[in-house]
Amino acid sequence: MKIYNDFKIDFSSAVPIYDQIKKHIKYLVLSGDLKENEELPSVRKLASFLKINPNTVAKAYRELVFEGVVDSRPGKGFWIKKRKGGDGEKEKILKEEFEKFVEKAVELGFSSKELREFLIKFIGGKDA
Amino acid sequence: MLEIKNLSFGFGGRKVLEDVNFTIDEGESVLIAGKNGAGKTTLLRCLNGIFNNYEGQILLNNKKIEAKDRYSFGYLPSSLSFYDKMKIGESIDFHKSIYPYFSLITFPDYKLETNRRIEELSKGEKVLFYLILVLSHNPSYFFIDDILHLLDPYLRETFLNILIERMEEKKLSVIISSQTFSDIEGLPVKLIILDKGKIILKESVETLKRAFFKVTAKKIPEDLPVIYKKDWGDFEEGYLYPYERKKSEDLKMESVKLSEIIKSIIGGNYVKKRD
Repeated sequence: MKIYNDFKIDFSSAVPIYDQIKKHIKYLVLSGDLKENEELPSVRKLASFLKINPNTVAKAYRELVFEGVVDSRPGKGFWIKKRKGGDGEKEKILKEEFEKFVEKAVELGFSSKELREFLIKFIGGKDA
Repeated sequence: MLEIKNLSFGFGGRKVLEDVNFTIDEGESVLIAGKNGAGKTTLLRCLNGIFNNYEGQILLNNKKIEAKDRYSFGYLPSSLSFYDKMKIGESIDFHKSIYPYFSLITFPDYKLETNRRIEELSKGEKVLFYLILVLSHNPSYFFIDDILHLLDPYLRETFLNILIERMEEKKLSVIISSQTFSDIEGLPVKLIILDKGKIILKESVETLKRAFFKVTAKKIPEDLPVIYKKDWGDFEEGYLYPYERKKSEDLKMESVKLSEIIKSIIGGNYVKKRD
């Protein structure tokens, strides 16, 4: 199952564990590695795999249900919900990442012009 | 809910626990840390009725705890020497006769050999067997005194998986006192730190991690709340708590693991400030 690939909790991060789980699953949904109607591991299984408190997994799943990423039915487990649009979410995650990226660039002393050039070169390079 | 109110306990004239207060919710897991001799084992012994002559109150679901309530407690002490002459099967039968809700649990990862004598088991196997025995009482609250270090990495993983399964299935509350917690980092949601018998810190792990930073600098500014510092000659390394991170910081700061948080609290100024 794709969900287990590179799924590691960063215990030294100030980002709460349930948040890290949510992010991981959202990224897999965005990338298409987790597909609509695909079942998620049970709370117990994921908790054992990650060696964390099952309540933490349950909390992440609950919030994903609340946010409309995941569906659930008691006794039936959890699966990825059918997506409508989802672009707002994509944009939000991208923006967060981008802010970090820009911050780093400023730390490293990039000027706005240099940064723009870097991005164009980077994207151009990927496209080619 | 388990409520510990104004718990104090002493041997002779010496106070070992002083005015200890905290609560444990159903399904919650709590890590109790502190230097050697801080009172961790004594606290677990009071909670489990091994020491009864304490001051203060222990309430289970708002009622004063009685002897029969102990059936809903499970306790894994730090030394397991009892039943050594018994066979595994015999000690299971013995527990069946004592505990009203006893039902032997089984795990796919681990098979009990009922004919083996307990004294023949390795230290780690013994711990695992007692874990299974105690969980078979079907406790709601499970106390583990510093014993996890006796398990090899494989048995530790089995142990953890058994715990996680029970926490999920039965809303088991787990209270762990441990000095080696690198592989159980993800388990506790609450941290309690004891020092000289008193609680010096009681906080949710999430809140704690948000307010705890390690800073590395040539010279750490005086106005920062440094609770633990190491001077490496060329640079200093300090742990800050409580600290709210600001957007514009020229200092190198990073978040840290629970084990580092505990080390810097029990080893540093945080304790001294309170003396």
